[in-house]
Amino acid sequence: MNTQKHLHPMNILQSIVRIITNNFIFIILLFVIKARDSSTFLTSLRLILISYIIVQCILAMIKWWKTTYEFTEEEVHQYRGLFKKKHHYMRLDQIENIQQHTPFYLKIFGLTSLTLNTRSTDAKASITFETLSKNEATWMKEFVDSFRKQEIYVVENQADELTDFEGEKATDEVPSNRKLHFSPDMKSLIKASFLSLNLLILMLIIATLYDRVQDILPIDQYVEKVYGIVTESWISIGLTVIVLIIISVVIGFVKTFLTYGNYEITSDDEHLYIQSGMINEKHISIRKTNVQGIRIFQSPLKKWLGMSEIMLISTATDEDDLGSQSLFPFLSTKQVRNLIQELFPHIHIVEATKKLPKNALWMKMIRLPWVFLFASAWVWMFNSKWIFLLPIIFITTYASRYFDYRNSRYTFGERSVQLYSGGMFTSAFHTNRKQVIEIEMKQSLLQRKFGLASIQTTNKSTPPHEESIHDISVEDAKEFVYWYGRRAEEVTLQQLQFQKEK
Amino acid sequence: MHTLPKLTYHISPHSIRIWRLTNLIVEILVLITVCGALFASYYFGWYQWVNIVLWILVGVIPLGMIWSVGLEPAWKYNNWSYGFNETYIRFQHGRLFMKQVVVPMAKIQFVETEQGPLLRSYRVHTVTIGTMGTPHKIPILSDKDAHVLKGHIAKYAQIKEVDV
Repeated sequence: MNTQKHLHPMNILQSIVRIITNNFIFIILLFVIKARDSSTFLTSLRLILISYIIVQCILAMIKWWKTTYEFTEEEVHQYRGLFKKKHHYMRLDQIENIQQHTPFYLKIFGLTSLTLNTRSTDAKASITFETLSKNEATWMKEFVDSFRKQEIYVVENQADELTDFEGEKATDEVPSNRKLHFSPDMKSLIKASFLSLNLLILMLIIATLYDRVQDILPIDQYVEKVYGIVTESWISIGLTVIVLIIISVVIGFVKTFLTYGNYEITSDDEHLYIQSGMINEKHISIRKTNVQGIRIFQSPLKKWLGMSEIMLISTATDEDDLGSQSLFPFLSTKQVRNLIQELFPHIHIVEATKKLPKNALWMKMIRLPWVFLFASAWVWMFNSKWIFLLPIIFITTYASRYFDYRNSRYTFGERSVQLYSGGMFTSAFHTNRKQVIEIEMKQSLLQRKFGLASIQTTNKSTPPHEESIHDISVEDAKEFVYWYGRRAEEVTLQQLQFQKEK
Repeated sequence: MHTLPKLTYHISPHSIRIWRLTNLIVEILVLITVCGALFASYYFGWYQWVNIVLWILVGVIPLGMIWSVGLEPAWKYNNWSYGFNETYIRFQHGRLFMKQVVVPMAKIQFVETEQGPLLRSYRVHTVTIGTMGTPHKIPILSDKDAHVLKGHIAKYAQIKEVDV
């Protein structure tokens, strides 16, 4: 047990595949599209690319060779690095959760990957083993598990092979002590796919591709030809637009169904579980008490369709979601309140009632419109044909300021706070006073003249989560500081005993 | 009843002189760089607009010096205050942009004092208070005050909140 081990050698192949996919576009360009061109420039480019890939592959092998791990009786160590040796370790009793992720390409070879997370909010607080044999992973889980006094929760990330229906059923089963809170119905899935705004994405993809390829290939003439045919008549323009819309809606449907098709939010006494994804299943578990605050977010489109998104601000460390995890992004607004109260009874929800004073509107209007000014300067100096953008920017800036004034509301309740603000995109933030780790009150000279101030809360997360509301009356801002001063009454303090540092 | 500390402590009065000196040095260095660039611009014949920008800078920097060397240090000093008790530490600074921060003692993770050669000659320190959020700096504290603050935090930051 005290020997250093390597990851499964398949790790090398995995890295090589990653290197090739990362350089895919160059490979295609240099060896397929421009295969016939044998000018010295392109030949040297090819040589550079090949040697780069070879060096990367060799480095991947060395990396595999130099990356070892070791489980001692109380700790897990990871050693890596060729020139700069890195040693990373964590105590086994600090491990908060284990995440097992099995993408389909690992599943084929009977492999899996494992991440050990500690409770700390530090980003370095996790160790990932990218490729492990199933046996090794099971051994690891059991070893860590046996060490922990408390029950450890193991998150299984199973990828279903599409043909393996039995396996799929097996993973779908929800343990009996878990309660199902939410699973989207067909209607909300359809709404969700329309909301994904894939038309824009499609346009962006085409535009960027065109831009990229144009530098290297003489596709201008083809494009002109196609463009000529398309713009020949209004009918063909209409048809093209319709086809584009259909394509993007279809992409939207497929994407939405693959991501949210079997979406489920379940919970037991301690944890909240989110399951998503049809092909690459992803299971996430969050300790409920780790949830520090809740943010309810609405875009103009979502508001119109009566939907909102819940973001959880939590201390759970997962490198991907950095402490803010979205629950299903297309919840109907009616469901939201119930869901929050069901899932997080420890967060006290108060209704935001106080509005901004009249002066706040003046204050908001007086502020310099920086974006507009910079855009104007840019248009004036370089691109006068974009002048039509200016009125759009001007109107959206001031409209969203006005709506921000109308929307902003707040309440500091007995134990919790709600801050609601935003012009076009609104967000409502709920948290308990106990969970606010720091507050700020700010006032600029102008705000002082108007009798206004801004306040800000900070919550523990990675990175720390800050929420603020601007231009509330100065009396309320002072009241907010005193409100935070009363926090001392509700927290229990305990003298820490000095722990022996290793 | 709230238990917020009063903002009774001030930073060291030496700070005015220290800020004057550092700002003066920085501004002079900037001025020298700009003059150098101006010389280079004429010598190598750079674009006309570069010259214009540089001449504007040459005019603006001395004006800026009136502010940053003459006025700002005293303002900054007068508006910097802090206070602490068993449960909280609280700072307030700035007038044009006033900012007040309240941090519970239990959320403080470390205290660090720093002293460059200039600060050492005045026997003052920069104190950094690290929390889970962004660290807070008290710019210039006298030896004694820094010591008192450090001792206080060391005593009370060991106390942690527990979930019940």
